Amino acid sequence: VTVQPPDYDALVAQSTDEVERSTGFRAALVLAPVGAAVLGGFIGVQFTHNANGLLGALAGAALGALVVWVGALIRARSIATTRFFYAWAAQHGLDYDPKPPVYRDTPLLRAGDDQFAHTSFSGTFADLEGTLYQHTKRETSTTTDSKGHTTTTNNDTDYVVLRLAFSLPGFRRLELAPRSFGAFRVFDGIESKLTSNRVVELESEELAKDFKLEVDDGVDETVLRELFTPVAIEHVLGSRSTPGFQHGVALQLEGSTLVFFRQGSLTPKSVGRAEALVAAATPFVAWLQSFRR
Amino acid sequence: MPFLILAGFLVLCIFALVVSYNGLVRLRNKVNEAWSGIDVQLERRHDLIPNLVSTVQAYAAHERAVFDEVAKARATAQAASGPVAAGQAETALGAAVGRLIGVSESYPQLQASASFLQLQRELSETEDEIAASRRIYNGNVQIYNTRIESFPTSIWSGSLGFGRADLFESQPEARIAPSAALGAPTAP
Repeated sequence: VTVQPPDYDALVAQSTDEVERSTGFRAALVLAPVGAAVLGGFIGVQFTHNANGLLGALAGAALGALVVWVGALIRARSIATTRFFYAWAAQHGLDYDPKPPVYRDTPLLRAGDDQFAHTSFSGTFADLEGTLYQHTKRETSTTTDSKGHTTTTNNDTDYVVLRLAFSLPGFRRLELAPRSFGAFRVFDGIESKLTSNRVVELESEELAKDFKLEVDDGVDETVLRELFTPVAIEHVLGSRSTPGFQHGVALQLEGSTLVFFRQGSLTPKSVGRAEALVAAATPFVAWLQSFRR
Repeated sequence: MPFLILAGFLVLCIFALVVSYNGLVRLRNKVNEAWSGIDVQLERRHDLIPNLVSTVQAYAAHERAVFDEVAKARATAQAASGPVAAGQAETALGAAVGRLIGVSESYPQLQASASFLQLQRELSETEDEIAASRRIYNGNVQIYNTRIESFPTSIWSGSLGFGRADLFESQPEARIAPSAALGAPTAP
């Protein structure tokens, strides 16, 4: 059954109307232009050649009104977004939390110089307790020019993450992701030697070419092959055309946490992305669960 | 200077040759590995068939011709080696098993038997695994054959013992509906 998501545009219109009717907005719409006009008039008198105070006052008043107006629109959108996510969570039997804690229990969630979490939905997904949220990885780079000025740049990458409470006996860590996430096959051997994990190639050349499968050194190869049966390999390959994933299934299991992820942010307009991720991850959760049994 | 350029070019050629050779060895191993995977599944199928025959025999002992046909096809399939021969033998075995299942449809008590249903389910799962293994194997063969026939690898691949690999073409038994569900791997 497809549930129609809440109408975000209607919520924005409703919130805008409410903000515009509020006393705070009306007071600000009077006071801010007046204050800005006084300031603008003063600046006009003091700093223009012909001491044009009137022009300064008019420009200040216009600017003051514009700032209040833009602020009101931003506030209205923020209210609409919060309402949308509460309504969407209620539709799906989930709990919404705009500022969830930052989880760092798998390699993806620890990657980068800093991490942030937003827009979280907790509840039951594919028969497991979990959280669906937006994770942001921040990479910070600092450059210094010839004059000694330092510039710091933050590069943020957003992921939609489905984080589930799940462990798989015999596996401390299991990672499977499309190579399009930046894992080049030529470095597999070096990575296996330098870390406590190893990159495994199963019998399918297509799988090895398009996906990187990595497990901790303690994983028994026979058990791994019992998990990745030919049918399972085919489903992994088939996930490349599944809309919920991006170039195929991307999962990480570490300890008692299992995450599925794809790049992108969670906004009212892109919430379908989260629904698709859950739908695409569900058969893979069933596969791992049946192996555990 | 020209000597250095020539030496550099030679080193580059040798490096490319080594990388290409190792790539072909890796691909050939992948083809062999995938074939072993098919072999394991075929063996599992061959092991299930006698149980299926004896279960049907308990309800329809007079259908001797069908049982003999299955036994003969199974013996041929077990003796077959290589993808081409195995593919033909397995197709024949699949057809014989199909007739055996067809016979069972005339016996409602057999159709309701728990052991028969269990065997059918196991056979269906095995068929799924064989079909998946076949696609993986044929995928590997396609990549390997394309590589050895592409220029410039084709110049020396034959002389280094890299011959074409055969595809495995076998039709699974049509009457057993494949389960094709993710979530039912073999238990460890």
